[in-house]
Formats: sequence, structure tokens, C-alpha cells
Amino acid sequence: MSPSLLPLRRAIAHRCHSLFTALLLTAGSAAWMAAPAQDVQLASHTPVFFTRPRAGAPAVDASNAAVLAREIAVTLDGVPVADALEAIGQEAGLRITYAADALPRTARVTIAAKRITVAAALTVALIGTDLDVELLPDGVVSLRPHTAGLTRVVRRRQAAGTIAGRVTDAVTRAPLDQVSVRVERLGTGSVTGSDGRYTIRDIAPATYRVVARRVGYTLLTKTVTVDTDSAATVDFALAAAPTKLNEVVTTAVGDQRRYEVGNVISTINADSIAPTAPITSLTDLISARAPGVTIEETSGLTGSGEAIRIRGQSSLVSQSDPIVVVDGVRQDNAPSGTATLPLPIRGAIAVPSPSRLNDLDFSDIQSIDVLKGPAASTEYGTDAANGVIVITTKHGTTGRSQWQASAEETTSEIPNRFPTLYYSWGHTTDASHTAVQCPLVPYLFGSGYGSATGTCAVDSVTTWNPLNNSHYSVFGTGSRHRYDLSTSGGNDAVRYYMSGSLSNEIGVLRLPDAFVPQADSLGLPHSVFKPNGENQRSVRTNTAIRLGPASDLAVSGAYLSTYQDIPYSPQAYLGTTLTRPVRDAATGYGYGTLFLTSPVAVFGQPASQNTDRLTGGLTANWRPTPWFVGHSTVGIDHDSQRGTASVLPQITSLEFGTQAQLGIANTTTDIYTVDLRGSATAVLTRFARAVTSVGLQLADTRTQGTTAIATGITTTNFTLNGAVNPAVTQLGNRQATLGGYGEEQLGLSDRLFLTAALRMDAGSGFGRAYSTTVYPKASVSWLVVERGATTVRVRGAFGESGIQPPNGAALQLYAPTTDWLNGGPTSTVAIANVQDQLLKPERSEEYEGGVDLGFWQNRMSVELTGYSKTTRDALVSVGTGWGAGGFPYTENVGEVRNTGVEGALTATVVQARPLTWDVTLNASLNRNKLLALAPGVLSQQLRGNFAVFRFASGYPVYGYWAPRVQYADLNHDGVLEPNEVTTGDALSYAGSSSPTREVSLGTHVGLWSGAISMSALVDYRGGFRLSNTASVFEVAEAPQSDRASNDRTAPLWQQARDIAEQAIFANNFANGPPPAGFYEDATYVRFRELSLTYALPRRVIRALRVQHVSLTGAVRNLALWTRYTGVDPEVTSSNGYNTQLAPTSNTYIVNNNLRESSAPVPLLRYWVVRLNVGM
Amino acid sequence: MTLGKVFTTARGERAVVRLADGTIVTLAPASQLREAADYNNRSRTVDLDGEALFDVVHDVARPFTVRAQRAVIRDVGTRFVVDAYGDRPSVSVVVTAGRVALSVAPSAHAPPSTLPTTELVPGDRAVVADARIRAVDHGADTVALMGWVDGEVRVRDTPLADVAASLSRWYDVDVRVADPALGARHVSVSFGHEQLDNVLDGLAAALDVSWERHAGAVVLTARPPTPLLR
Repeated sequence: MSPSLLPLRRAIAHRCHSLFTALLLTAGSAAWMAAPAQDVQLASHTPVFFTRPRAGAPAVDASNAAVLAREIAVTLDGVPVADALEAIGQEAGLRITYAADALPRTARVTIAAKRITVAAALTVALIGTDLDVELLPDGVVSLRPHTAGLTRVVRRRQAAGTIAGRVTDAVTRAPLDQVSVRVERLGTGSVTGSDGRYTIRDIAPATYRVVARRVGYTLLTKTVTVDTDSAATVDFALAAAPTKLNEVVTTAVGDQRRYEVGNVISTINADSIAPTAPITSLTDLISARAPGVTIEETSGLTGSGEAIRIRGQSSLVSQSDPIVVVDGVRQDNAPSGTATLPLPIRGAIAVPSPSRLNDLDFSDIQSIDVLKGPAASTEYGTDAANGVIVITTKHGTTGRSQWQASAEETTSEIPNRFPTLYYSWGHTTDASHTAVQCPLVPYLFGSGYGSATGTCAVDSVTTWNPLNNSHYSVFGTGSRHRYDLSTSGGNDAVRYYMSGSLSNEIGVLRLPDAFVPQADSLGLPHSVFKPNGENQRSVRTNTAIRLGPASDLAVSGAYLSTYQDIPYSPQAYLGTTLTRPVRDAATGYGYGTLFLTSPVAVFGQPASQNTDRLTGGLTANWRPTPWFVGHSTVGIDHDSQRGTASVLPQITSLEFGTQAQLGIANTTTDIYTVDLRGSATAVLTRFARAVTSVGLQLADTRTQGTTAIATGITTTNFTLNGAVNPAVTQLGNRQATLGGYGEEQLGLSDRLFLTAALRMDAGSGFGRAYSTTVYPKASVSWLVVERGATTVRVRGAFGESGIQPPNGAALQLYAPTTDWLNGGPTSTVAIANVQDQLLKPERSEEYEGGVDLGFWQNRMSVELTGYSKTTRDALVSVGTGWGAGGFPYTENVGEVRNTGVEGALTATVVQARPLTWDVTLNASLNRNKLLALAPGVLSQQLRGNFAVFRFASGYPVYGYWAPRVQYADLNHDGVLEPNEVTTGDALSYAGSSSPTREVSLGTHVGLWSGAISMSALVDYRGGFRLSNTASVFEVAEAPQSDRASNDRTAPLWQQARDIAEQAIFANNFANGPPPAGFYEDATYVRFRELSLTYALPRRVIRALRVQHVSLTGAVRNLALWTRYTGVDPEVTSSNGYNTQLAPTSNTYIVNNNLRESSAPVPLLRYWVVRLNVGM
Repeated sequence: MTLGKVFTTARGERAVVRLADGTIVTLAPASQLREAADYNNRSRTVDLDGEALFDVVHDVARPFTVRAQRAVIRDVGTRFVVDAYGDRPSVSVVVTAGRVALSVAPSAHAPPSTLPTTELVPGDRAVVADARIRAVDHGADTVALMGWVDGEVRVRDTPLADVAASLSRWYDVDVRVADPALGARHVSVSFGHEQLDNVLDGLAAALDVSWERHAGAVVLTARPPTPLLR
């Protein structure tokens, strides 16, 4: 072998990829050896790879071009050069063009390589020639005779120029990262960092076309001239392509594009919904808009709270609501049932308590991202196992000031009639012919006579419900006025958003006309005539300041004030006593006598709650280099509440033994949030990027307050001052979690994203011997197809999160008591709570997988998700058995699993100027199953007012359990008698108390370029039952007023349940579980929202010198379709007092998860008229 | 011979034609296929101007005959390409399957059955020029020669003038070579979906010449191109 070829061979071998390359170089071989004269010349010339940035422009080096760097497989065994070029051209997809006479006819080429770069292969093939390689567009490659001096161009490569610039979103002007910027022809390029900047070095001076492209955006091409003196600047503003996957979602590690995240996140674009939809509170915005997210309504009363359940109930007794984060700051989201109202006056009856979430002014909200479970919320740490509701408020956009104003007038009403109540008038069939109440069968707590058993005869049956009579009903119409004003704007340095809103709502509750004289005669203040209302004020300012090229600061603050009047515990009475008619000489038409004689007495117990809340945060972002982003948020949510509840002195005469009372509770809750995090991006190769994120979070909740309550208050001194024996209680509470996470995300070709994370937490509620907990997470997101018209993404995620033990659960607590010591009573201290040193958080792990499809020009998008969420170490409060169910301790027992599927479909069916039509469909299925309780415990039973729930392995938690009832109308008289009904002794599963199937269908139609638009939202929930507790009362208490106990034509299943209830009552009054028939199928379809908006035409708007004027008419809760015979199957409030139940060895104290309908104030229908003006 | 059906493709156009007997003909751009009036009756004879791929349904009783210039191609159940553009002095026949009997008619109307024939087998490429069979290449690159069927023309070691004609037909643009000497230079090139400008740039660079547009036509001239270096 000729020594002169050796360095060349080495050079070639070097160009070939080393690791997997089996390169056999016998290039030249016989032909070259046989022609030594040529050989010398060959060795002196290797092809120069060059291109001309434009036609006719001077040549520049192209040896770094992407097409040449591609690796191909080539096997050639001594073939002519022309054949070699043909093979390489085929393999590399290049159009190799050359003059046939330029090739040496006799030369032969041999290459055997599994991986060889195109440049190396061409070099080998062309070594015998005097040819250079010119790259042209379209993959055209021209082999041209060597031009003297061209080699110098290659050498001059060091004196190359640079292209740099910034890529932003054309609309938001936010910097775009992950944008691929490539130089056409050369194929070289770069990817932007999180500040949107990119730099491409080593570009030979010339004019080029530069292409920027990014998933979800339309590509943009610009022309630039590069010289060696300075960097050429090319900035791009990319327009978003219509694909849902590109939306930015907010997660613990910051804003991410949806397709980078391996789990599903439901986003609610509040700013586009709130202006025209009939929304009365923030929870109305969420309801039926995110699959798998259920708002559990507790009452139609104004200001009632809601619970939020995401992907089913996973805790037995712990907090089951998601946490709420607004602009990075944790918010007070006390679930309903933990009212800060004063101590109960009338025993353990819960007060309807507002959701603190609804303090927020929904018109300030830009978007709501719902993280549905541990797979998504791991980085949020302990407390996030039930999901996270991430709220982003509106922020100003650059430009001149924009003003938005709106005014709204709303009328509310009870949408449906209440079930008709019955009374059977009759006389005994014995000789006395005494007038008696004569239901179908005898009732223990009734007259004891029955027409079907022949002991009485019916004279007449009357039907009536005072709630359906305008003169007697406590329900009238309500109203609401609401005014919003906001402004936003700014420049590059400062952007701002400011808003203020106020709303005054008067609820539907009223003192019936029939009782006004009574109230007047008692001297009650007129405030009790409309005892339910809510006034809200909100002021918010959000300011973003650009401190420099690398840092910015956002300051947000809001003052929220909510004042609510809710008559003390109206629900207990409205649902039961008030609905029972009494028609006797003593009281006339009335509301029953069991507890109170008159609505005056209920409304004479006013309660109110005034909440002043200051919430805000300071957020700083710092980008010192293109590859690092630092972020810090410091925030506080301070709320100060003053609750009062009273029994007015004026009503004490109405009921024996009632005393005037006044209770005042002042509490403050402060939640401190500190969130520090940083993300570093490393570009590993041109196709691989790694993002490393670390974060540290503190959430510290401190509550303190005092409650004072006194009796014997007088009308002349309706204060606590001078009260006799006021009882004062102090309460203090602090709960904190401190934790950090590390997350690594690997992005490949901006298509495949692999994420792994670990979160470590310490919590104030953990046992002393249990220090920290660690939650892992991993996810994958693969954008399989991303073309203009079609997108396919596959994703999978796994993650863990937890719920902290309740405060003090891990502590040993003492309580003062009086005990017998040394033969006499002594004041002493006894153990009140048993310590568990190993108490740890509940731990939920979730697997989630799904596919996202966008097709039909991305006008239709489909998200399908399956999940399986298992909660282990479920916290349970267990009685020790010492004393009567006392001395409970909290233990980690129990395992609950929720599995389900969710789907979301959005489609733009018609997209034309005269007509646009969008459809949104959300659906979810959830299966809840208790897998295990503590060892040896088969089931636990819980009681609400008149419903029995059990925790039983293999069944849903909080499922209904009831005795089975069998019946047959043996004598075919159409009426069931007691002997025709058999009631089982054992309890069997009667159904889930929470919905297992949900479907919501939304549609939006725009006519004439949006001049008229119509939106509708219909919601279905099914696969669950609801305890019709009001009916149980109607049967259990005299006079029996249920339809089936009076009406011979009532369905047999209703007659059977009444008789069975009677039988159970007769056996065991205290613990009689209602029979299965009272757990009715609560499946329903609700026409939740309908709105019609008219926007003034442009010429009118111009004449008015405004930007936008629209008028909306809307209605909420327009219609309800259900087979449920109670009032409203969606209102599943519980008055369930904390319940201690059998078996006596273990006692569970449950939170407010007992769903029954004993407080049937249905959801109100709201008629809304709204004017929006933009200036 | 009276004429039957006529199938024509314009420049820049290709067509797939199914004849009455089931034979499938893929016509290259700017080609014409004429059926004999009694096609599929007693015999199956077609005339071709241009280039076409024939997938012939075999029928012993009625042999399939293609007449292209002086060449007479009779199949015996086969797949072959006939390249017989009128602007070229030669006809080429490439066989990829079956067998083909090739003969040359001394005049345009000589009865084909009397002619001496040369049999072609797959892989053969025969060139007919000046009323005789000039060459038979037994190892032709049939894949490359039939590339146009799939949208890719691969030309190897071919005079630039012929390439220009090919480009004209493919791109529906008149491509001319100004200088006969330049037209005689042999080039290798391939094209399909590329823009014509890029293909021309490649050709011009390889030959160190230039091209320009004149009244909708493209002219390749021997004038040197813009210098590579400034």
C-alpha cells in the first residue's frame, strides 16, 4: 500500500463513526495502484464540500451540513465510481449530478460500513477525481471540477460568523423555548433556551434563509446575511397553530407545555367562560368542566359551601378536598363542615359553611389547571394526594390601557316544587267512630290506626306542602347585583392588572307572609325577614416588573371580603319539621310542633360570618444564563373571620326552655407559602435536552382564635358585655409541611419526554419517630405524530403523594376531668389522645396512562385517560375501648383504590364566518373500592341522620348499607299490608353514595362573526344513590305524610319501604337503619347553563368609542331530569355529626363525607342579565 | 391501419391506462399510445410515441405488439419499457419480466410477422437506431430505467441534449441546450419532485456552465457560471 495514502485513510477512518463502524477501506485498490501518476494527484485532492447560500453567491464551507453528517450503510465491492455514487445517492436520498467524463472510468471503489457519514462515503468515492461537492437545495448535489482556491474557503472556516436571536410567541410575546432554528442548505441549527434565545455559530459569511419551527406553532422563515464582524440577529415571533397540546399548563416546576407533561391536566379557560356564562361562584366555573372533578353541592342556600372530589374519595376520614394554589400561593380551602362559627347552640348540628375557595372573585381568573392526583401532584408534596387546583389570575398585557366593565342583575328562585305531603283524615272503625289520622297501615309513631288493616276508615286525603304555597313558603325569589371593573396594560418594563368587584346577593329564603304578623308582634328586627344573603367585595392588583434583561418580578395582592348571613342551622328544620303540615285547631296551618312552632323561631336564630382576607405573593424570576431559570415565590393568605350566632331573646317564648344566646368567634388563619425552585437546561446533543429542576416548599398554616358564648342576653343589651357566665374558648392550631423535590426531564427531539422526580417531606403532623417521607414520580410523554393537521400523543405517569395526619393526632393530649381519687372527687388530668409515634401520612400512589389525539386540522381533539389510584396507610381515628368510646388515637390502617377512565373531546364542528359551532364532551367513570381495613376488622359502620354507611372490604367507601326488603301484594288489593313485607335482619350493600358516571356536554354557537353567540352546558351524573332522608322523616314521625303511607296508588316499592321502616323502627328505634328503598337512584341530567349573548356591531361600537359591548342573558340550572323522588339529587349535604359507631372495639370519627339528603334546599335557578363593556 | 383509441399525456403528466384486454400501460410524460382499430379482436397492436411501461396480459392467440418508430416489439407475456420519443433517433426497450421479441421493420408498413427477431429477456436493454438493433445490454439497471414510473427519473451517462428533452417533458418547461457541443456532453443526474431550478443548478455546476430563462424556456449555455469565489 502506498504510504502517501495512509494519512488520508486515517482521515477518512476518523470521519467514519467509530463505535459501530466496520469500515473496510481498500479504496482505490487495484485501479489506483496501477496508475501511480494519477495516484499522486489523487492524494493531493480530496473533495471540498461547499454550498452557495444563494444562487450565484460566493461559496462557503458546508462540511458541517446536516445532510453530510447523516449516517448511512454502504456496501460496495470494487464497483465503478458511477455505481458507488448511485448507491450513495440512493442511500442518502441525494440527487447526485455530474458530468460523466469527469469520473475516472477505471477507478473502483470498495466500502463496507454499517454506519458511515455521507461526507465520508462521498470522500471515499471521489478520491480518484478532481471533483468538489456543491450542496444545492432539495437534496441536489453537484460534483463539479475543482476550483483553485476553494480549499482556502474551508480553511477560512475559523473566520465564521454567528446568527443569534430571540423567539417569542406572536400573541403573548412570551419567550419560546425548545424552538428549533435551522439554517437552510447548511442544515445546522440550534434550539432556543427558556429565555427564547438561540445562537448558531460557525456560519460562513453569506446570506441564508433561517427557519424556526416548534411543535404547535406555524414555521417561519427569514433571510439573514452573515458576516464575520458581528452576530447577525434574527428574531422570530411565532404564531400558535391550533393544537391543544401546545397550551401552557402550570405545574409545581413551573409553566410547561402540555405535551411535555406525562399526565393529563384539565384546563378551564375561566376568562373566556366567565363573561357570558351564568356563574355565581368559582366552583360554578369548575363544575362539569373537567372530567373526573366533582363539585358536591351541600345546599342551594346562598353562600353554602361545596366539597370538591377528584377521581373519587380516597381517604376514609381525612381531608378529601384538593389543595388550592393561586399564583403560586397556597390558599385557605377549608372544606365545608369545618365552620368557624361559634360552638353549637343546639347540639351537634352542622352549620352550612361557605367554601373559602368562593371568596375569590372568579372574574379575576385567567385559567384553572386541575392536577388530578398523585401522578400529577407529587412535586406539591404531602397534602396534594387529592389533587391540586392551580389558579392563575389575570395579568396585564403590553399595550395601552384596556378597561373592562360589567354589570349584572340576577334573579334566583327555587326551580322545582317540593314533594307533595299527604294527610289521611278518617275515623276509627270501632263503635266510637273517633276522628283519627288514618294512614294505610298503622304506625308506631302515629295514630296507630290503618285503613289497609281495617282499624280505621279514610274520610278524605288531603295533599299539601307549605313550601309550595307562596303564602306559607320560606322560599321566595332572590336577587343579586354584581359590578366589575378592571384595567390592564403596560409596557416592556411594567405590566399591570387591577380590578375591583362587588356583589350583593339576597337569597331566596324569606319569612313567609303568613308569619310576618307573628314576627312583628314579637318585635323581631326586619333583618330576619330575608335572613340569607351574601355581600362580596374584591380588589386585586397584579403587577409584573421587568428588572433587567434577566430578571422580572411579579407582585400580586388581593383584598377579599365576604359577608354572609345564614340563619343558624336552617337545614335541619327546613328539611323535616317545616315540611310537615299540621292542621289542628291549636296552631292552624303550621309547620309542625316537634322542635319549633314557626319559621319565625328558625329565622330568629340568625348567624353571620364576616371574612376579611388579604392574599398575595411576591414572585421573582431570574434567568442569568440561557440555561438556567430561578424562581421564588413568597406569599401569604391571611383571613380574619368574625362569626356570630344567636338565639334572639324575642323568640324564647316560642319554645319551651329556649334561652337567648349569643356566640361570637374571632379567628384568623394565616398560610405562609415559600416556594424556591430552579431549572437548568442542558443541551446534550442536537436532539436531546435535559432539564434538571429542584425546589423547596414550605406551607405553614396557623390558626388562632377565641370563641365566647353566653346565655341570657337581652334585647336591650345584645352583647356579651355583662353576660352571666360567658364561656370562652381559645383555639390555636398550626400545621406545616416542609419539603423539596428534584426532577429530571429528558427531552428527545422535542418529541419524547421522560421525567423522573423525587419529593421529600417533613410534616408537623407526623409521628415523632417518623421523620420524613419520600414520594417518587416518573412519567413519559411521546408525541408520536405532529403534523399540521394531526397530532397523536401517548403518555403515562406514575406518582405518589400523601395527606398529613390531622393536627395533634400524633401527640399525646390531656384533658381536665374530675375523677374519683382516694375516695373523693378530684380535679385531675386524663389522657385525651393516645400518641402514635410512628404516625405517617396517608400515601396515595397513582398510575395513569392515556392518549391525546388531534385531528381534522386539529379542530377535533380527544383526550383519553385511564388511572388507578391506591391509598395506603389510610388514617383512621380508632377508639381504644377505654371508657365509653373515648381515648381515640389515629392509626395508619386501610387501603382504598379508585380506578377509572376519563375522556374529553373538543371539536370545532363548523368554522365559518357566518357560523361557528364548538362542542365539548367530558366523561368519566370511577370505581371506588376499599381494599383493606385494619387487620381483623371486616367492616365499620357509620350513621348519618337517617342513613347507614359502611367501610367494608370490596365495597366503595361510604357506600350505603341497608336491610333488604321483599314484598308481594298477596291479596292483590294494590296496597301492601305489614304481613306482605319482609324485612331482612342483615344489612347488605345498597349502592354508592357518590356518582360513578359523569358526562357533561357543552356547546357554543356563534352567528354572524360572533355577533350572536349561544352556549349551553348539560350535565349527567349517574351510578349512585342518595338517601332520601326527608322521606324517612315523613314516615317515621307523626303525622305520616309520605305519599306511600297515605295514597293507595303509590308505587309498591315506596309502600314497602314505608312499612319496612316502620318494622325496623318498632324493633330498634335508636339504631334502625332505613331500608334499602330509601336509597333512591339519584341519576340525573341537569341543564346547568344556557346563555345567549349579543355583541353590538362594529360600526355602532366605533361610534360609541368603545372596543366591545355585549349583552348576555343566561340561566343557570334551567331544568332537571331525574327519577329521584326527593328534592334535588345533587344536593348531598350531610348534617352528619361526627359519629361514633359500632363495632364498639373501634370507633371512627368521620368527617363530612356522609352523603344524604336531609336538607333539601335545591340548587337555585338563576336568571342573569349582564352587560359587558370593553374600552 | 385505421386507428382505435388514442391515449395521450401532456408534458409534466403521467397516466396509467388499462386497455380492453387488461393490459396496463403506464405512459411517461409527453407520450401517445394508439390502439389499432381491431385491438383485442384478432390481434393486439399499439403504436407508441414516447415512453411507456407495458404490463401485458399474455394471450398466445393474440400476441401483443408495440410499434415504435421502426422497432416492433412483440411480447410473450411480460413487463417492459419502450422508450421511443420522436426527438431521439433511437428506440430503447428494457425488459423486466417475461420475454420480448424485438424486430426492426425495414419500412413503416412492413408486416411484422415476416421480420427476423431478437429475443430479449429480463435485464436486457436493446437500442434500435438507424433501422437496426445497435446494442443489447444484458446487465442494464432496469430499476433506474423504470424509475420514472414511480416519479423518479434516473439518467446515467446520457447526452445533455437528451436530458434536456427529458426535463422538458417532466417539468413541462422547454429546456434547450444552446451549444451542440455542450449537448453532446454526457451527464448523470436524477430528478423527481425537486424544483427544476435546483436540478438545473446541479447540472450547470457539474458541467461548469450556466443556465438562464428566456421567454418561458430554459437555456443551458456554455457561458461560465458566476465565480465560486469572490
